[in-house]
Amino acid sequence: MGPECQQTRDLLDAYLGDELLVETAHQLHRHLNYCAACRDELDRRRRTALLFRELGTERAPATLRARIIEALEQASVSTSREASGTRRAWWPQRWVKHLRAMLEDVIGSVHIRRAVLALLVGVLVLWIVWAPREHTISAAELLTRAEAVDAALYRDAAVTRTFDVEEWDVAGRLIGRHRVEVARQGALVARRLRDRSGRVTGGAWSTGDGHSQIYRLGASGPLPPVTREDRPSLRSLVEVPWHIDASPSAFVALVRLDLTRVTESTGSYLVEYRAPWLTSAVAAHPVVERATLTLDRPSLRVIRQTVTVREGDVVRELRYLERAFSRVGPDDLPQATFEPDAGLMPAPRAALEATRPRVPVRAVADEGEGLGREVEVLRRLDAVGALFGEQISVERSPDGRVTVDGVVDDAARKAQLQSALSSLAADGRVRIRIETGAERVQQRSDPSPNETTFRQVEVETNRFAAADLVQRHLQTEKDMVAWPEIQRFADGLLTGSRQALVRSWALERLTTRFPPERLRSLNPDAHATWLTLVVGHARAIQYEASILRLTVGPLVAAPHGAGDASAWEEAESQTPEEFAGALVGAASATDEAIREAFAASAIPVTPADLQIAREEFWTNLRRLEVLAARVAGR
Amino acid sequence: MPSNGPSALDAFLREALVHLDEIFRVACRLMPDRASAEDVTQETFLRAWAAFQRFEQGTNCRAWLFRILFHVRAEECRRLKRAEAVVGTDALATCDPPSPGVVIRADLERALAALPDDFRTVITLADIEGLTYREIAEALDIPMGTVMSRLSRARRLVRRHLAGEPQAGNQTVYRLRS
Repeated sequence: MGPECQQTRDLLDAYLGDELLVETAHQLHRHLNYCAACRDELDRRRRTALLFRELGTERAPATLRARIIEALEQASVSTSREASGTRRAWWPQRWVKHLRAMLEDVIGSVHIRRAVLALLVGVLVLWIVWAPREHTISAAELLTRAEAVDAALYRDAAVTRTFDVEEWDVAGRLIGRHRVEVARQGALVARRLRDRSGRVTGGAWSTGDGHSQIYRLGASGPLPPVTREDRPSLRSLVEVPWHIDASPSAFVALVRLDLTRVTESTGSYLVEYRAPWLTSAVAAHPVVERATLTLDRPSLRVIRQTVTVREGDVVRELRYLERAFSRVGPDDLPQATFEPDAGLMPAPRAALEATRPRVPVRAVADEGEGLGREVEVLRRLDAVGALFGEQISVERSPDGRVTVDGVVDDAARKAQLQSALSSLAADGRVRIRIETGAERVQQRSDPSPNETTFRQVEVETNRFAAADLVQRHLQTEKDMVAWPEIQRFADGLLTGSRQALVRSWALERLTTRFPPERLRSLNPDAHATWLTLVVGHARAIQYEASILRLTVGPLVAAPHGAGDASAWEEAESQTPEEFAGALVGAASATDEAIREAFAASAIPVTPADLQIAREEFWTNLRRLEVLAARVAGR
Repeated sequence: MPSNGPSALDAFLREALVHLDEIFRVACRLMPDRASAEDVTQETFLRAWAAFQRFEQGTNCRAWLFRILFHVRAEECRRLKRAEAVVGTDALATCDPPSPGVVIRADLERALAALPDDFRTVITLADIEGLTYREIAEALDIPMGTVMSRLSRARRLVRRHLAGEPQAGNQTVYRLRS
């Protein structure tokens, strides 16, 4: 390439972007007129640029859009409150302005004026804080009376109350709002968390022993019991704020009574607690900095409760506002009220997670340890791509020892596998026996009669069935496409579909080796490693399937969205093993169709008869993508 | 200057949320997975809303949103202790091979994924999302000259990758997108 060509190529991108000066563009045209190579280069860059623009066609998921709009609406509610707060601050501002104007008339010096102003404001603040107020009742007495009133509400009756629980951050922004319905009948307590549309998204149901079990939509079944109903802990307040009632007893459990004070107003009592100075700044665990309880004056019923919690640098204010209250006969609430809603039960991906061990059980520690070792071996094999295709077996003996036995192609691969596993072999609990094919043959005196022999199949042509389709797709109006380019296109597809297949094998191996009951014996780390492997393969399958769909689609005018709903429904009802089996099935069928179309073959198939031209292939590919997405948790 | 009430929210949805797709696509290319891309996208719009009062109507909302996105993402990277931008030394090499004749989408995706962050960012903004140099400079808070030189290097690296040359840049991240 001559210097002029080099110079031209440096300018081609700018030329395509219409950024060159007229003169420079003229020079470039002159060169392009006689240089075919640069003309070709320009053309290719133009095509790449077009392809780049095509990458920018994906749309954000509708769920994300909805989520953002909802969050914005919530934020807008909180900011409009702030805005109204600003209007309220108008009068004091005007007063300060008047005061400043008066001082300006009296005192000439700016500094003295400021000092006097600061002093006045300070005195005002002190007066507000320390001004004596009349207390006709002490906080302790008031709260005891309120507790008695509260207890009486539940005596010989069933009660349902609805609260809004809001979480606010230190800057006064609303960060979360829950609507909680609490039904209480004797020792039975049911809490339902509802979203804006009234759908139940979680809840807590009492277990009869004073504890309750928490469920969340989309989670893998019940979370561990967190808290006692009657005495909420601070930890549960931070983690599950909606699990706490606005009640005198909850308030008493969270504060020190000797640091509370009562303020009376016409309709209500306000009980207020403030943590001692510095307590919250130095504490390592969550601390209640401030809490208030507002009681209706004649009835002593709670109408509002706020709790400000500091955990490290994070300060959150929780506001509990009662929205509805009803009291019925002791047995008037249906029994189903006190049972978790069916919708909160786990789904397939959740079923995988559900196997996550909760409480480490000493009795199965040995079993868990051996399993954990096995997961680690699988992880390392996976990292060097040895979990699929090669003849490598992993066995675990009852005493927890793991044996890796395998035959590989050559010495280099053997060394690679050995080095991947070497640090595990050090403690003697993992035994590694990896040999090359040649070594294994040498060891045997007589070759096994069942040994498989491979016969090279000579393919005379390197044409593949869909070559014409690819050629038509790639060529532009004026250019024919060279064969190597067509070949490269096909190779890319073959590699992609093979990748999806081998990864589905790996996924199958991982899920069948660890059925849910064995997963439960894993320690949390090993479980996480296992889940990462599974999700990693699922994502890769999903990626390859989507690339196949986008690349093969334009060749045959693929039907859109076929099979969507059925695949999702199918996914809902399967166990992890069935899931993996279905994935392998879909991946094999896809790979077969891709090979039929894009691998060189002596058997002629007309393009119209190809599997990729049939709806079945597209349904299957979409199914593969959907199943993988489901495992990947997308 | 709009106030942040319901009518302001309508204005925000009209003015800013129309760019959701672009912001999301770019986030997908910058974040390691789709879930975190969704998170930074949401955070970007929430912050934009919080600062909407200060946004001057009639100025470039898209560039402003991208600027917020890059701030959010930088914070996220710091939080995850992930190197935000790695520029490989050989990325600065001048070799520019001819473009291969046929490029398929998958090749391009891989080439993009293999680019160092800084380069992927400019090429995504310029060649995929079609932002002008000025908009990119504004979004990334860097001079226009830097945008131009970075873009030219990024395109060169993509061509090198497409031509099958050994990994360009010292950062190889296999990005999974769906």
